[in-house]
Amino acid sequence: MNCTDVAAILDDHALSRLSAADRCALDEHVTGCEPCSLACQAQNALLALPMPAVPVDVIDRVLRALNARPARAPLRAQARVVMVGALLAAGAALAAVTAVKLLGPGTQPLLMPAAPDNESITGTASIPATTAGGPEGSANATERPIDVEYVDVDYLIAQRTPPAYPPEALRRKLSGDVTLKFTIDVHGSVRDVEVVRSSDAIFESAAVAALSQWKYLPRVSAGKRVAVVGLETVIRFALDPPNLSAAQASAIAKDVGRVPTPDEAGYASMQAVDRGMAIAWQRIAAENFRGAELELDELRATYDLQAGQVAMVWSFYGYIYVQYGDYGRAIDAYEKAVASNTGHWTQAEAALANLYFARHQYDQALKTLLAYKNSGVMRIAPEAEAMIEKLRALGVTEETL
Amino acid sequence: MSQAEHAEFARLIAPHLAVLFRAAYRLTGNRADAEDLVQDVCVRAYANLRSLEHLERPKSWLMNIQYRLFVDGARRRGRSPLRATADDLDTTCASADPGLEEIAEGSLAERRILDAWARLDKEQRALLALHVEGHTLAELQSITDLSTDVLKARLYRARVRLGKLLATERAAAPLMESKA
Repeated sequence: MNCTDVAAILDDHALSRLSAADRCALDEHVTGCEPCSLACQAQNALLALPMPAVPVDVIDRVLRALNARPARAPLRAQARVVMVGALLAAGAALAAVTAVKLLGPGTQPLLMPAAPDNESITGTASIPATTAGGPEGSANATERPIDVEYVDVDYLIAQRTPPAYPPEALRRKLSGDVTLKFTIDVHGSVRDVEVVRSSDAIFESAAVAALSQWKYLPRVSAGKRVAVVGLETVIRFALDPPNLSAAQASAIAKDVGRVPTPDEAGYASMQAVDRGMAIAWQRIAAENFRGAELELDELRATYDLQAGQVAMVWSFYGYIYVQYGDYGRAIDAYEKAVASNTGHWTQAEAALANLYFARHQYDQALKTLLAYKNSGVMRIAPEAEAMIEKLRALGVTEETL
Repeated sequence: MSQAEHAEFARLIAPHLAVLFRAAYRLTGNRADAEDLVQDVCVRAYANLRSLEHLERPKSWLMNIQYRLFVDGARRRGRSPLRATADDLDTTCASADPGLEEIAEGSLAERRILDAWARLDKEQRALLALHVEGHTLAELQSITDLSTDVLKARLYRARVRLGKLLATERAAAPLMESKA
């Protein structure tokens, strides 16, 4: 037994449940280890501390205190600010943005797993097909080995930081949007953010600041992570309800409480998951894929993840396995991502279709793409259209499925 | 506030009061501050009464509020809406249960623990208090937003520190007695 074991026993509240053998091993280690001896003594001392009974009238006192204070409490629940990224039609995405705003400034950015991405590639969009040559054999082949060296994966939004609503705009009850141009560098960070146009200059700096913090898993092309330039996105600022009174607006602007509201059910764990995903992203950016995988393992083991989070976690796994060149596992991971979040575009679909394609499972590739296209969640990405066309050229269409 | 809201709030919050109070007592080390802290938590919870009932894990949410209020205690003092009614509250504080202070006077060992406890920094005290109340590491994570590794390391360090303080108290105690 070593110090880590002792710490784990204390952490797990297992001291009183130890077997005789473990107890002996523990005692033996503790006798020779001063820090562990101190830690065990502290734990026992704490457990021995007597507790007073819970006061029975505490509720009554709270209620009396509540009666004595000015009625302002419901304000936050009624009037809220919603910011919507353009094309973020998915309900989950909307909810996540709302959640962040209600927390006020200074909080961690939320991961928005269920959100369809809202970039459209301007200029020449590359076709994210395999780097391999044309396919051969029947379209129904299953479990064919991938006979190409690399499979490409497109960039994937990993973390979308919502912008802060400019206080002045809030006071004047302004809504608006900003169109921005940017680059995703080889690490997945956002660079070279430029305002293309905006409905009101008042929103520009907030939009630029937010976009600059967004994180992506960078595009993988021919086995290398590459930058993507010339992307465009729209960040929209909207008030909900639109007829917010001036008093409500200024109250929200002032209300920067750090305590989460129950609107964010499970808020704390959501935030912790976001943080874990941020760690995984950093490790991927630093090419520490194994470390990223471990972080994801831990997130899955520790938290009861929501559908969107599950999709995001498995998309990350898929991305990592592609980096390993382990395409079989990558397909498994992306399949899980897609299955966990039906009805929402997770970007795992494109990667999955790509992998199926490389494995000559054209039917599967088309099914994946069509499910995405027909979900109607958002307009279809040009890459996906291109691949559907490519499959059509191979004689694989909706009719042949 | 209507009677209906009154009853609804009491119904929602009552199941968690004991846990909140015990944790608050460990955090603050005395009864009056613990009650204040629990009341502050309740005020926050009441502000969100309508959505409180839809929470999946109301306990974690309440503990998270309490943890933050405590660690962020200095600011709380300045802002608490309960300060205005403190006089009113104090008159109802008398209770048949012995407070921590009285208990401590009864036992030198407990006094030592409390002295050592009071000398831990707030963050360490908060973590140990929540942990010793029976929370698992996963629950602690959702309450504190710390990663597992950080939590484990901090818990261990906090215990060793508390153990050291206890050892110091033990060494110092006989001297104090002989002076007396």
